[in-house]
Amino acid sequence: MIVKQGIPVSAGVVIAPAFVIGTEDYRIPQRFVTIDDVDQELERFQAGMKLVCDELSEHEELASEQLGKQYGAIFAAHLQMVQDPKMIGEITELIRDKCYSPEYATTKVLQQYAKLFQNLGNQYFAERAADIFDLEHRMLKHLLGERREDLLHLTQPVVILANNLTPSETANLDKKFVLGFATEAGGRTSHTAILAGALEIPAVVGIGDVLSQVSGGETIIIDGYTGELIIDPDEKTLERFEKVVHKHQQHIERRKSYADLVPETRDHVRIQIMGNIEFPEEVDHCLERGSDGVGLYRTEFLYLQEGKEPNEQVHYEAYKRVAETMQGRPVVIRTLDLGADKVPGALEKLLFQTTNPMLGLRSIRLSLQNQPLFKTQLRAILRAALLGDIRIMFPLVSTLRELRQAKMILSDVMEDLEEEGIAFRRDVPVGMMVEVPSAAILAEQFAREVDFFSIGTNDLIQYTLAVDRADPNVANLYSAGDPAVIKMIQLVVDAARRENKPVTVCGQMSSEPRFLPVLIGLGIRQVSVTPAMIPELKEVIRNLDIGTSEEIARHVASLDSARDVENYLRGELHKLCPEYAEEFDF
Amino acid sequence: MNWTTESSLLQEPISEISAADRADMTPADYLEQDVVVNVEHGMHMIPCSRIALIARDTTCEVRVVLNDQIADARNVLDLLMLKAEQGTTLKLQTCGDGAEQVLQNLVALFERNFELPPH
Repeated sequence: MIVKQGIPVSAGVVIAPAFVIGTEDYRIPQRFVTIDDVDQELERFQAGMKLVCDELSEHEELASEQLGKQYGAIFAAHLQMVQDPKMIGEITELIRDKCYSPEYATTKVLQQYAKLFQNLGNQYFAERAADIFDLEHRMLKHLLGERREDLLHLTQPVVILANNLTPSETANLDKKFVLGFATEAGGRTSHTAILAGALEIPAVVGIGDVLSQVSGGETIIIDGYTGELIIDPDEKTLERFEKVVHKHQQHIERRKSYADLVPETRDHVRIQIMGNIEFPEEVDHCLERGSDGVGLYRTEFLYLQEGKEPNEQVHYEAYKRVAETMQGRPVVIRTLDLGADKVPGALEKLLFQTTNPMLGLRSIRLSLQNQPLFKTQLRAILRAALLGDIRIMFPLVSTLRELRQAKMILSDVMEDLEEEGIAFRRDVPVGMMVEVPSAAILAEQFAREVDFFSIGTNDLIQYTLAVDRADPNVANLYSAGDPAVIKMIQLVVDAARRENKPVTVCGQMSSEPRFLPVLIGLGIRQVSVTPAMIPELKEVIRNLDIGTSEEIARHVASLDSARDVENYLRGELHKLCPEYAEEFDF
Repeated sequence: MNWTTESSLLQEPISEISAADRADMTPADYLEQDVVVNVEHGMHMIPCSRIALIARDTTCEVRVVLNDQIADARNVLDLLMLKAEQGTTLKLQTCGDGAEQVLQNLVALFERNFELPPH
């Protein structure tokens, strides 16, 4: 039995066999082939290279079109490199004469070139090795092709163990067989965490080395409450966890009865609880729990699922489904919130050239620089808005100019639709995420130009404290309870109140029961949370009154460290909802 | 450089033209012209790939020479390996059918600075 400790990111407990997704992105299944297979393997190599060339040409075209010729030129150069007769000759020779598998031969030759570049002694040329590695990955991707997909082909319920799941890997997983996730890397806001939350299955991330100790098929326990991962549990442990699983199920059953409860404080102030969703299917999770709407519809998966840019119809169908299912309840659609690295097709290259993607071209910045991409999404939103209470939200706005530009593009899109005679809704409310300190500081100016705010605490904490939670060396500095973060929220709430604009909190912070009293005390009356947390939060709200909440907020303002704030809030939650706290062993 | 035995395929001279062939060729067989690299950061991926594009489109022999290094212009990786920095003088050599036109096209490419944005 091996016990590992990670960060719990999605609640629940599961016991199931392990399914391991390799440590290396491109595990080479076979190094050598038999002499009889050589001709066939050579053909496979050529076919693979043709796919690589097609992909690069497509990228070249896309990049030139959307980003300018200089970006297209990078792909054109890659295209020439993969067609390099000498390199192709060397790979072919290894396959033919040494019976190397095409994958192994490719890696061999490209790694040698990369090493040559690294040794050239000139920094600029040495960095070209990265281009070679990129080519290597691209070639392997096409050579491995279906074999790689096979890895993700599931036939029975499992828990997934991986170093770090990429969006495309998770998109390809057959979700009905996945009962839990555990990853070596990643933090609370990692992709795995979001996906596990969306699927409502337990997940633990940031475990550190574990793949070297499993080969697949072992019995695994994932405890999404404590962050424990247990490999090959002994009988006693297994028995203990079977009880926990049972209790968890009971707990879920009990919470189901909360769907019809109204989230109202003891002094009859109605708090709006909405759900954060990623996939259209999740609206059902929201409705089951009596959600007041969808406060944050992340649209990134539309971009990640297909491996290429979604067209207007793909957007429209997704928004239509959500709007119709929510039957007139508000649905806040957040426009693309990805870094350039995550956008399929040509744009991935941009990240290659930036050193700090979190401060680089992402989110609204990416949309403003890629208007065709942005306009496609806006058109679909405006059209779908006829089917329900859809609202538009721009992410990561850091200057008024960006907000004005985004709004201007939105009116351009309206004009286009009108000219084309396509039906859409003109008076769609337009809001913005407040997740950059500059937006919080200038909240009053921003409030005059938007219909609503939504505070994205994950990024607001990251940018306020300059901490990347995924970095274990500094992760302990990341806290929603930090006095600076609380003050930022206060700034936004006060500014919005003066301008009479609503504010929602939609980050992880609002899904954590202990922070709810202080948020309400600060003046928040709307939260948007992980759907699974809606029943719990309703229970907390029904035990609160505004006076107590304001007192809690006042006391928090007097504290000067994140730890004091968190401890105090934990204690207050104990006092407010002893039953709840006991159940979760706070 | 630290090579494993399996790396031997990269130890041969950069050019694909064998030593014997090279000895047979007098410089007179080649048309040649010097060009100066004016590309910021030297002959990187993009200019090299543009040269290769022209070289692959012809039957004639196209070489780029820097001191004693000779690169077959059809091979982007060979061209990159010349590590020609900004300000370096390169010798372009062409030989065969349409050698003159190919040479002119290449020189023009250098003169237009590979249509890279001005630095």
